[in-house]
Amino acid sequence: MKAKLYILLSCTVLLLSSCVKEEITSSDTRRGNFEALWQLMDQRYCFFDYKKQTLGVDWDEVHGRYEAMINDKMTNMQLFEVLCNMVGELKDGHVNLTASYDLGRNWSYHEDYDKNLDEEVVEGYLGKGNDYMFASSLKYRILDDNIGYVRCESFSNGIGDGNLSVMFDNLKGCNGLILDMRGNGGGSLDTAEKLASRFTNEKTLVGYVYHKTGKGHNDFSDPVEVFVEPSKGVRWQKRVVVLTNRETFSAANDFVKSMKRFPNVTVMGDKTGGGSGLPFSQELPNGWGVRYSAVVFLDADKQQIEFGIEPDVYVSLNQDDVVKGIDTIIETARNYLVN
Amino acid sequence: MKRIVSFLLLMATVVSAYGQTGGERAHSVVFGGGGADVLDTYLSPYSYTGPALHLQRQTERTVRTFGIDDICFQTLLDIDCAFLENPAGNVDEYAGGARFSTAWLKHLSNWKLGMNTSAFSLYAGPMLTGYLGGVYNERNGNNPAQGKAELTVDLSAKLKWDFNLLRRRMSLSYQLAVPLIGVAFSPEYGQSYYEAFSLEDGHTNAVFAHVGNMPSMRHLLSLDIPIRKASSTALRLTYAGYFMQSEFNKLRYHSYTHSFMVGVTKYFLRK
Repeated sequence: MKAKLYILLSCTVLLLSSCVKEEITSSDTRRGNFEALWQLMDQRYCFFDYKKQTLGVDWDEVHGRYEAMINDKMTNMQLFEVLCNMVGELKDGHVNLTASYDLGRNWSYHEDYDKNLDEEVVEGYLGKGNDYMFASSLKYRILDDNIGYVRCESFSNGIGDGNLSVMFDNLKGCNGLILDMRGNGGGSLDTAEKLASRFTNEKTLVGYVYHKTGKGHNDFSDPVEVFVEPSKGVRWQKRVVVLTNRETFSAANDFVKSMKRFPNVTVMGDKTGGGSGLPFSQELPNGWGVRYSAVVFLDADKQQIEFGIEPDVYVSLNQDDVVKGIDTIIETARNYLVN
Repeated sequence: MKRIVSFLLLMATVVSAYGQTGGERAHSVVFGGGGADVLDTYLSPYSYTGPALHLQRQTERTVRTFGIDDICFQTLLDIDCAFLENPAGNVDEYAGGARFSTAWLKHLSNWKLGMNTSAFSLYAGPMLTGYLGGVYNERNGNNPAQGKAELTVDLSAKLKWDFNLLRRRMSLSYQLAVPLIGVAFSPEYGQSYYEAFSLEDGHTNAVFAHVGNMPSMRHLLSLDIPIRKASSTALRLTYAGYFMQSEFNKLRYHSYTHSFMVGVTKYFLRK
């Protein structure tokens, strides 16, 4: 009996001594928060190798360079600025630092390029009052030349299956469809996939996805195929032009990736903004939020789309047209579909 | 992994259904609160702490099972929730779940002290435990929550001390349960729930759990004080110290809870 008790007590002591504790133990000091951010990104960010190839970012070198800027006398705002600049080296729109007073970001993916979108001009195409209709968050209208125009500004709000079926039923008499994804900064991947499923009649391989499996920069799972299956609701069978600009980002970028696989689809406008990483969130000892890309999406050829997708036809917004209330990109798409 | 799950479920079904002859029974319900310390590195690198609520229902019955006499057949249902905050105090997190255990504790020995007015009893045996729960972090976007599901075979031991005080027959018991092996759900290190569920790529999410990657234990200390002399109803005071830990797919988790509960125990005499 004593032996059994000793075994039980030994097991208890063994269990007590094997605590599962925090991995990142930096303290809430200037240097502690710096080290916590660097380490968190080092272990969890998914594009280090790709960013080294494309941007020459060496994360160890970044540590040394920015560590020299950290001191205990700097203010919170100065620390925030330095840390934002550090993660900004990755040029990833999905990487953010969040404090109560600011959102640290690198939006160079669209800020460094022409916008190729004028909201007022687009509103002119949609009209006023009941000129256009809603399908959940989508706005749509039939233009004068019998081309359907659908404005999709975001995937942040869900789109109902019924709404989509009614919309496509209303547009079925059109000779072609313009799907305007300019300025769409993303949202739900499921919503993007739901819309894409209206444009294919067969299950189509649209890309691959993989994620980090450990702390090493190259600890990845095997890529898994991603398919879009045809919707059981009303599906569009005629030609489609998808309009893009540098603000077409994240889930919208993923949507364009899928649409490019379908035979009736042409992508026009500017290159998309990219953002092919699925962002996760973590935090620093001082409570600042950290968002970073954790899961990688590739196109169907297993190529990175983190820095965007090329359109089939490059078209820019002509400012002389804008003054006249004309959207050069919409007009190019209309001509393409009419002819 | 499917084989392990099937085996555990089959074992639970067979063992539960196996003939158990009647005996003395005790049912107790206690409710209370305490504190919790939860770490889940899928959601945050840091432990969140805060108050917790805990409800526990326990049944015990002396039975004969598998031809063995004097088995204390026990069921334990724990439902708890915790309201947590990060160390910086600017993000809330909520954790909760339900744990159901059935145990077959063999009465191993008895020690009587002084004029037979006080007695110690030692029980030990296997316990089968299922747990469903989760942790929700209100700030995170694509990784806002972590689901918890476990099915484990535990080893449990219980020391019970019956003694007389204030003309009442009181009972103080301490029980320890340690998960030995089982199966648990866990996403991979950087895997999204979108991949696991929308893309149905969840083949790596059922993991084999053992003492090495799930060093956990649950402590229960209960005192039953009969309401009146020779009453079949007793006031129960319980302390529950649950130290649940795991490291699956390089994701670290711990949930340390301390709960102080009060409730009643009802004894049913042998028919």
